[in-house]
Amino acid sequence: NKMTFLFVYLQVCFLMSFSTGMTEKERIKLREEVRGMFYHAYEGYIKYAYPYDELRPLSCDGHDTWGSYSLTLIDALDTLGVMENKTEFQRVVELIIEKANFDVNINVSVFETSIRILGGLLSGHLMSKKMGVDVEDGWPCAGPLLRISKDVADKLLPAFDTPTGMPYGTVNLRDGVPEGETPITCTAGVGTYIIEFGTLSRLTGDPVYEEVAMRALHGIWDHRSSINLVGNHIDVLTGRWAAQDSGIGAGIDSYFEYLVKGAALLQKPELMAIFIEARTAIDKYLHHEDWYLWATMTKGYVTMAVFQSLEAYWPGVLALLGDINSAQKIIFNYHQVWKQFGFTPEFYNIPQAEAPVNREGYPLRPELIESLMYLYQATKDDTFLEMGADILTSIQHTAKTECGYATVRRLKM
Amino acid sequence: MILRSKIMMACKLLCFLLAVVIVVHSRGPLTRKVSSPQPFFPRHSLVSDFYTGDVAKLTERLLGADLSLVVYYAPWDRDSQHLRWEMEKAARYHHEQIYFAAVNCWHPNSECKTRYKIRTYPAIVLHVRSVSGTETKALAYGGPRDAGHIIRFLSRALHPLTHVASHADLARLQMEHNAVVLGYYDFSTVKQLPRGFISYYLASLRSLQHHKTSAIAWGVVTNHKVATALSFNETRSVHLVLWNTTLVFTNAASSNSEGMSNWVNKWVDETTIWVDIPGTKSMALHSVLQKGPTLILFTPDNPYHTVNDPFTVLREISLDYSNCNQSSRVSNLARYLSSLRAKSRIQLRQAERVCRSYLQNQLHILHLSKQQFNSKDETCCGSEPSSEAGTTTGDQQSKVCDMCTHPTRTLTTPEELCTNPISWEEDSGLLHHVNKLMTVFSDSCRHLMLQYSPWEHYSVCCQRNNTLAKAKSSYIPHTPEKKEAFDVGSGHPDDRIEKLVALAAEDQCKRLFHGSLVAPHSFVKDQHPAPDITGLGCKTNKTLTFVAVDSLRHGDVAEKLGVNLTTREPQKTAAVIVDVAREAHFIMDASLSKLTLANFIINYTHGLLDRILVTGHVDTNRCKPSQICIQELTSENYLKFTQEMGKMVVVLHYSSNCAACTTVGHVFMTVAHMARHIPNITFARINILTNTLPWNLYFQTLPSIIVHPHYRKSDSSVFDSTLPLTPANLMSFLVSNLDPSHRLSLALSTCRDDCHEQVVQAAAVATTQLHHLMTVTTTKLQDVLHRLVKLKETPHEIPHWENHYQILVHTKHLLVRDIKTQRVKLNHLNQVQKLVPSNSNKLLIESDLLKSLQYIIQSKSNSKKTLESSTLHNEL
Repeated sequence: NKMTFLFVYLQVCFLMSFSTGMTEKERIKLREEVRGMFYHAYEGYIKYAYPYDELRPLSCDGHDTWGSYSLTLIDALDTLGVMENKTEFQRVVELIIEKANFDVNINVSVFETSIRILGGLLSGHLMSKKMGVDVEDGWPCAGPLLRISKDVADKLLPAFDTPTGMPYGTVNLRDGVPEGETPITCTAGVGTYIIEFGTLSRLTGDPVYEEVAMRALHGIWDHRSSINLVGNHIDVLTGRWAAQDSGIGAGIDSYFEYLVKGAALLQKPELMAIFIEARTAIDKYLHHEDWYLWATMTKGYVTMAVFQSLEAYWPGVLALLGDINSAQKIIFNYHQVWKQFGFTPEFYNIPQAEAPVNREGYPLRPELIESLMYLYQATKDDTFLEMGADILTSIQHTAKTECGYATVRRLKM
Repeated sequence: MILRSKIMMACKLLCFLLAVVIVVHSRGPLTRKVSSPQPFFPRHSLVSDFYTGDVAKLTERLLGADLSLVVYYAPWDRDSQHLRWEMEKAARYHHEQIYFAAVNCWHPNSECKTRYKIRTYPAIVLHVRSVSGTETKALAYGGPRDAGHIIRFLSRALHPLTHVASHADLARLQMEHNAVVLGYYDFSTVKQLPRGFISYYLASLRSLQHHKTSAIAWGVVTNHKVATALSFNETRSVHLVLWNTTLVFTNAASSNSEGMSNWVNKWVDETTIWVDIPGTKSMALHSVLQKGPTLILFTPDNPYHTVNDPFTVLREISLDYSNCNQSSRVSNLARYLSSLRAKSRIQLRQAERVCRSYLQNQLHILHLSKQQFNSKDETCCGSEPSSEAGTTTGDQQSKVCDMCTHPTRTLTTPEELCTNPISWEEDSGLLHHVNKLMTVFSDSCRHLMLQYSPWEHYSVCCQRNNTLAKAKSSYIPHTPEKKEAFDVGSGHPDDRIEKLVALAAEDQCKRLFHGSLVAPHSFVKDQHPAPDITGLGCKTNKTLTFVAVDSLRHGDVAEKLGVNLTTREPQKTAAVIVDVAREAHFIMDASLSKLTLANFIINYTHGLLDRILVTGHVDTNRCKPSQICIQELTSENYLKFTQEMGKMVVVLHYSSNCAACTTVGHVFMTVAHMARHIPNITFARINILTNTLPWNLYFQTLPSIIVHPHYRKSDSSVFDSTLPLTPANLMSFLVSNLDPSHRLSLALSTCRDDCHEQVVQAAAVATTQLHHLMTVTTTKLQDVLHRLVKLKETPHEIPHWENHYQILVHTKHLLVRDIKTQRVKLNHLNQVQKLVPSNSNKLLIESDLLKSLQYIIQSKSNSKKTLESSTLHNEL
């Protein structure tokens, strides 16, 4: 059961719209604008918020959010690498090595710590040679950033010590799972570890991380409903579903994303097999006119006809899979939402074409942009660059502040 | 619902925490109100900007003009921002006839935002004032958002109806349009407008929304005689004149505009259409292609041109092709079309003559600009207001930013730069000259230098910024010197008519000039009569649909089909037949003419065309012999490369858009490295997204690895996709596809020093064993022979004598075969012992080894006993 790639003859040629093209100069101009945006936000953080976790872009100061570990600094490290800013990259690496201390008595989200801290440290570690950091002998299987990653991962491991193998949502960096911690974790919080943990295992040679991540992934799938849908929240002690709404968005999203990316990165056909089975059910019960709705996981009855901002990762995953046709159709819908509001609101009521009250913010989510990137790389169709430029323009217009970029709270007054 | 949302909130992960909060502040989230609306257009713009979203004021103004074009924009929207420029250009062109306005329909609490719900910004709407003057009818424009197409739309909206005064007028309309709607309205009897005429007028405007490319003409008959000649029964009746028939709308008198345009849309039947591919989600092309094989003509659709020669050729061909019952009406129409084409060329030349002074004036401006265009460092300097003019407050004119651009394109020839200005004095070639001149400038320069840049206070080139501005301001709209082409007969001179004629003449010149900036006229060269294809469409089961696609805007569609539009004649014009059901497409090689197009269709109908295999770019990086490298193949060289005798080729079929393909590269490279000692083996890969391969090389899943063996090319085999793709699995797959000689050489090539000794030892041991075995076998044989002799001596006395005898004979045969095998093995082992030096210091000459190996293998196959080298390998 190998990773399947669907190739439909002339698929790219005939389906959708085509842009009239973009000149090289326009591309470079847009690229430099993106670079400028990154530095505006990054320098704002360094200037006003470091060593706190995040910047408050309106009051221009910092505060701690997910833990007290200078989250943005670590999170932005690989972007510095992408921007090829070697001097700043080296400076930050040294800063992290010097200052990193994860032996503290704080409760952190296992999920956020994994994707942001572990992900940031590991990609920084793998990029460090290219960025001119003096790597030690044995790199990439040894190095200070890798040791810190291992340290962080070891502190997360206690969360995985459950009867089902699915992790708790919160862990104390010093004492493990806090007493009285709720055993309810959302599906994404259970199944979003394999990329970071798998990489860590392959680099350190210690299989335990990959094993716990795989066990958690299988844990979710083993508890799927009879029609192959998974719910929103699960009790990690009993395996009983606490929220049975099934969809591809909030609470579930990155579970599917990591199945595909994990399968590709770590050459795990078994994960792809799970995804293909899951996708068949999703297409059967949730897919309507290139939208994805929400339905009950047991029967597949539609409960909410809502598109969520977080769902925008899906076309990117389909593009990775090779199903460009479906991916294009879907992203055109999402882009239409963008064109209507200037953002993708958290919730978008599909039949009414409106954003419900209190669900109309845009916390600068990257999902749609990421999907556009994959689609552009797959097709080289300038339409997707144009869509990206649309996003760029409205963020610059609305979300930019003196020291960074702010969440858009409401799309209408 | 409540329970679920509670649980969702409890989830500390991805779930909505950020949704409401900008910053979690001790005092609660800090938020900022949206700033007050800012002007979006510059102050002196020809477009009135209602940036506060004041619809009431806008409506007031709309009622003051017959036609108004309104843009409902959102200031954050990129398309809205781009549209500003295009609107300015369109306004410059048409502001005397049409009122241009823009309204901010996004700003919270604004009237526009609360009143209208706009799904996609910007919305462009044409408002037509009703006869009563108290309301407007809104018609959305959905076409391309560039000035050229907007101007074309507006020009048509200004003149949606054509007066049909004679049968010849109808014939002309039929030639220029796919279908003609005719209405008979009698203006002589009543003082007011005839009833139903307004509906007819609105219906004609409505059809502009559906038929953006002038497919349908709307004619009005007013003369009773003409009406009778055209077989109209009564006034207020409507006919639809199609290519092969004429339909009568019986409910015309009682229908409103919607009913009328619905009827037309329902019955309109065209042999060929323009397919517009909007920038949004659309199935326009898809739905055409699903119907069956389709001939797509890629050709420029210049919005400023009224005639399109390649498209007319397509119409001629499609009329003949669909003319099943040999109707003379259809064949006459096709004949007229070709005469029309001949005429339009002459008309263009005439128009060029008439517009001489206009064009010269424009060229003068261009030349002035060119002089300031610093061609040495290809820098074009200009000043223009900041693109964020809409967001700045107060005086935009004072906020002018310098803009310098460094175009990347290089000039093709130096001659182009030094065109002699005197040459534009000549009558002909003016348009050609405009085109040539334009190629000198970079895109942004063109933008700046053209006189219709929207900003009043702009200047070109920083160092000398007055010249052009002066040239511009000194430009006075003039009347063309020649009027003969527009003579309306020898009637009494009327001021208004003269003015109209002058306006029409200038309009023609403007069109010529602007059109030549977009794309030159393309004319088809017809030298030979085309073969007759009348009614061919009904004689085949592969009936074609004919469509045209604008190659200026959708050139990438052609590119993806493997058409290089730049080398085409006439420019950017190519014909492609796409057959989705058979998953094939065919490209016409010859340059477009009626003859070549007809032949192309005939060849397709008879199945004489070859399926086009789209091929990607050829990889120029050649592999150095010392390197391990993966050759990048294309569909062009794939077969030649893989079918070469004596060469084994391992090909990775991948696609640039499959994630699984990106992670097998290192496995493939590792195996290529391991197999570097196998002679005549090459590793290659092909991106099947950009390269079409024959059907037998088509794979359902990717990545796929196929081996084309050394000699028996038909025995290619594919790596089992159910196995994990690891170096070990891939290697054993390769080895199993090697012929014996290469397998042996692979086995020995991986062998050094210690291994050699082991080989020699193993060979010695094997030899001893074989000797022993042979002795045993020989003894057995002797025994059997002995028993046979005995059995012969005592015939028929022992029961089952026959059986005994046969068993013994059979055993004898087996033993003899064994001995032969053992001898061959022994011989082979001796060879190996000779080849592999027992002394490790002695260097092994690989080529010698290989030669000897070849010899062994050959002798082996001569004796028709193949010794499996894998057994040897195992022994080793």
